[in-house]
Amino acid sequence: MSTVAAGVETTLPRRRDRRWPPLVPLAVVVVLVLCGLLAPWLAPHSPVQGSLGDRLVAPFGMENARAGHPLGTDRHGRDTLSRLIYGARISLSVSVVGITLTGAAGVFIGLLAGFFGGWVDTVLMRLVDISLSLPGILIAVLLSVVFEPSFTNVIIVVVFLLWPSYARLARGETLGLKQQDFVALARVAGCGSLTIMFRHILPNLAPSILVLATLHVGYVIVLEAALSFLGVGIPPPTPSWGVMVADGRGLIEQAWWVSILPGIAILVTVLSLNILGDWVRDRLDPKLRQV
Amino acid sequence: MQRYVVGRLVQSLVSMVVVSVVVFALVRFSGDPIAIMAPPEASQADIALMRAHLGLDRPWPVQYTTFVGQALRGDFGTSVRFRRPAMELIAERYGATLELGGLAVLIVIAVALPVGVYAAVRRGSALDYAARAFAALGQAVPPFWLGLLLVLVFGVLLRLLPTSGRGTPLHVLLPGITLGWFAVAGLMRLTRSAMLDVLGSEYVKLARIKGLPERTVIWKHAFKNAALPVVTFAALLFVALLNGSIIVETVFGWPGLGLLVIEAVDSRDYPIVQAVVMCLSAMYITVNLLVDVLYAYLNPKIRYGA
Repeated sequence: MSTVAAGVETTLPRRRDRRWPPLVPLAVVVVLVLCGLLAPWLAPHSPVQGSLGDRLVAPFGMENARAGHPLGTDRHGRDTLSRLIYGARISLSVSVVGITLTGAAGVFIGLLAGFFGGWVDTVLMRLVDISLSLPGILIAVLLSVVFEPSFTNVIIVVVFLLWPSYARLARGETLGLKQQDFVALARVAGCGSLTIMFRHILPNLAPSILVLATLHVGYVIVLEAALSFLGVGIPPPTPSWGVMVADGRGLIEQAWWVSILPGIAILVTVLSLNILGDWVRDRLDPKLRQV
Repeated sequence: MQRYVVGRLVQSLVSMVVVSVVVFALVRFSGDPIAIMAPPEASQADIALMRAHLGLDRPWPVQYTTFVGQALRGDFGTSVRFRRPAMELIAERYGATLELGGLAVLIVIAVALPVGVYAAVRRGSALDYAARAFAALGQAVPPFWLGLLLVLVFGVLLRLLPTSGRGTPLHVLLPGITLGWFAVAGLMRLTRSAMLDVLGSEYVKLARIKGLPERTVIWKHAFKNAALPVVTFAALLFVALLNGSIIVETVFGWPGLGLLVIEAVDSRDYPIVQAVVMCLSAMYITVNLLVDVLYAYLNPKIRYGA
C-alpha cells in the first residue's frame, strides 16, 4: 500500500460531493432569511400584542388547540408562530450587524499589525491576547447592570468576543501576502502603504474572512439567545428566541411549547448554518480546516 | 521557558487590571451613587458631607486606587439586597458552583474519552456515526434550552428527578449533565481525531505485530500519545464551564455564583455584581494562564516563541 493510493482514496469522493451546497440546510436558511425580511407580511398576528382570551392555547393536534394559532400562544395570549417569525429577524440582524462590525474592526487591526510589523504588531497582538483572556458573559452582565439591556449591548459583546479571531486571521494572511511579488511591484509602481494595504492586500483576504464569518453566524445566534435568556441581552417584549425560551421557563409543566418550540428553532437554524459554513469553508478555503 | 512564563504572567496581570478598570469605570459611569442613597429631604450640605465620607469628592485615580486596595482585601462593599458584605455571600455560594463544575468535568471525561477512543478504533461503525452525529448536534443545542428539555422529560413527564434547587445528591444530576453536554461534544470530536492520527502510525502497527492485546495497544500505546491535545482541551474546559455555569445555574435555580450574579442584575445590586465579576474573572484569567503554561511545558514549539 503506497501513500499515494491512500491519498487518492480519501480525496476523490470528497471533491465530488463538495460541489453543491447541502440542500436541506440551505432551504432552512433561505426560509429563515425570508421570515426575517417579510415578517410583517408573513406573521398572522402581532408579535407583541396578545389577546387575553387566547392565553396558553396549545399547538395544533393537541386538545385545547384553537384555529388561527397553529403553534399555540404564551401567557399573554401572543401567537408563538408570529413571535418565532419576528424572532428570526432579531437573530439575523444581530448576526449580520455584529459580524460585519467585528469583521471590519478585526480585519483592519490585523491588516495594520501584519503590514507594519514591529511595535505596532506587538502592541496590537497583546491587545488580542488580553481580549481573549477576559470572560465575555460577565462583560455582558456588567453592561446590562450599568446600561439597560439592549440590542447595542449584545452587539458590543459580540464584537468584543469575536474581533480577536478576525485580527489573528487577517494578520497571518497579510504576513504571507506582503512577501509576494505583486506587493513589491505595486511599490515599484509608486503605490503608498495605504493603497497597497486596501487596494491590493485587502481583496486577497476576502475568501478566508468570508469563511470565518459564515462559521460564526450560528455561534452568534446562540450567544444572543443565551444573553437574552439570562435577561442581559435583547429586552422583552421584543420576540427574541432567547426571550421566548425564558418566558416559558415557569410554564414548563402546563405549557411546554412556549419554551421548547423556540429552542427547536434555534437548534435547527444553528445546525443548518454550521453545515453550510463547513461547506463554504471546503469550497473556498480548505486550509482553514485546522482553525 | 522562564521567559515565556514571566511574559504570560505579566499579561495576566494586565488583563486583571483591565477588568478592574472596566468594572470601576462602568459602575462610576452608571450614575451618581449619592442620588440613589441619599434621602430626598437631604440638604446640599448633607450630600456634600456624604460625598466626602464615601471619598467620592476625590479625583478619579485616587478613587480607583482605593477601589483596588479594598478589592485586594476582599472588600467589595455591602449587598444592597441582602445587607451583608458581598464577599461573605460569595464565600457561601462558590461551593455550589464548584460542586456543579466538578460533576460536569467527571461526566465529560467519563463519556467523551472512551467514546472518542472507540469511535476512532472502530472507524465507520455505528458507534462512530452516533458519536459524530452527537458531536454535530451537541454544538448546536443551546445549553439553556437543553436544561429545560431535561426538566420537561425527567421532572415533569417521568417525575424521576428534582429539577430545581440544591439538596440531595440527585439535585445535581440534571444541571451537571446540562453543563457537561456541550463540552462532551467538543472533547469527543478532538479525542477521535487525535486517536485516528496516532492509530495509523508505525509504532502502533509494531505493537500489534508483537502480539500485544488490543486493549494494551489502544490505551497504553496509542492513547498515551493522543493525549496531548486532549489534556490541554480538558483544561480549557474549566474556562468554558465557568461561562456555562451562569446559564445552567439560572435554569435550575442552583444556588451558586452564577445565579447570585443574575439575581443581582435583576435587583441592580451593584456591589454583588462587581464582586462576582471580579472573582470569576480572576478565576478565568488564572485558569487561562495555567493552561497556557502547561501547554508550553508539553509543547516546545510554543515555549520558544513560534
